[in-house]
Amino acid sequence: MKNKALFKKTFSYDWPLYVVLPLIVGFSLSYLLNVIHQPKAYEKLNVFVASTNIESGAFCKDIEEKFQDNGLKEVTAVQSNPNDALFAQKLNVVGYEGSDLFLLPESVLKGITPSDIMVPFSAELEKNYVTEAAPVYYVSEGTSYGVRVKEKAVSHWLSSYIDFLDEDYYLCLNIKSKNIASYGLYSSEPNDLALKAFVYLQGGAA
Amino acid sequence: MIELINVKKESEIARSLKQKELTIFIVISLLVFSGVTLAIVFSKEEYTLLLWILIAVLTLYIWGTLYFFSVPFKQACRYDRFYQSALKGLLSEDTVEVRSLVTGNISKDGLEAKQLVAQFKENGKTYERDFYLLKGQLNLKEGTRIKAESFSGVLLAYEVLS
Repeated sequence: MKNKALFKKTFSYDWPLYVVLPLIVGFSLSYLLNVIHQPKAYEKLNVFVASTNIESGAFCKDIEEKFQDNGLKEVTAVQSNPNDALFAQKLNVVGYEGSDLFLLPESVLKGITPSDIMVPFSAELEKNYVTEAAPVYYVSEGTSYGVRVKEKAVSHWLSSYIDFLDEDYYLCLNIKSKNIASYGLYSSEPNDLALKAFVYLQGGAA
Repeated sequence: MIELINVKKESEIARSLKQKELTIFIVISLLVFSGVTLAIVFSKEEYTLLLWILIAVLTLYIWGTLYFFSVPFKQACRYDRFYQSALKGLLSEDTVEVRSLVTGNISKDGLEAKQLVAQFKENGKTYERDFYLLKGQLNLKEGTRIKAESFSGVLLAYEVLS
């Protein structure tokens, strides 16, 4: 009884602690679990698309569902219009630093130095991951850096998600990606989700 | 002298109670934190249910901790502090006349006590003097003169003079 009275007295002063502390702990726990279960670099993909518009949700879901069984947990797409003033900046910051794959029109590729950021296509990579029977490559200084996935004025299966510019589009791989097995800067075997997606986006079976 | 409180014995009891309560709290805290840590480390990707369970467990733990430190442990600390002070401090002896024993408990420095109202005469004038009883029973009639041994107003022992 005396404890009850004392508790009533102290509770009248301390009640904010009884409310605030569980809330703080709840938010902290939620944040902690969220951080722990964030997909690892080799479990997520980011695609940089230079276009006027993209149905990002459907596009990402399509890829995610396709490679769910391969351990893919998160797909994100970054879209930027090459005619925007900030396009180059976005490509430099968001694309170069965080994307695994680039879907770029020829005009954009001509304005950059692909050797700085893109994976040069080796004979092995071309043999294993390029699905076209007669592929067209984007070549810079004698080296291929991208494979054409959409021809100008020709529809592509990705056209249902992406509003392409009226140009040839090339699919390239980021050399900094941790999902391209041993083709990039980081030897990330056996993580090759970007390569699988690379095949899939060309329109072939991954 | 009738001893109401054996300060040495009571201080040992209060100290051991405080230690016991603290030990129980530490053990429970270790169990809770170990459990929560293991649950987080081995959590699966679908963790919504686990999150709510952990929030519920930690909310109960926080409420329990707040209650523990504001009621039982605080009381144990107060008793311990009082008896430790009584062991080292100076006790006062006064000859007083009992007037009444107030029914019901009051708080003396956060400790539950009964109040004994007494009076004493000095230089022809009568002054009131309150004593507090932490333990024991008093069956003193009004007007009884006693020699009271107290510390910080708490009656530790008394001797009936008339």
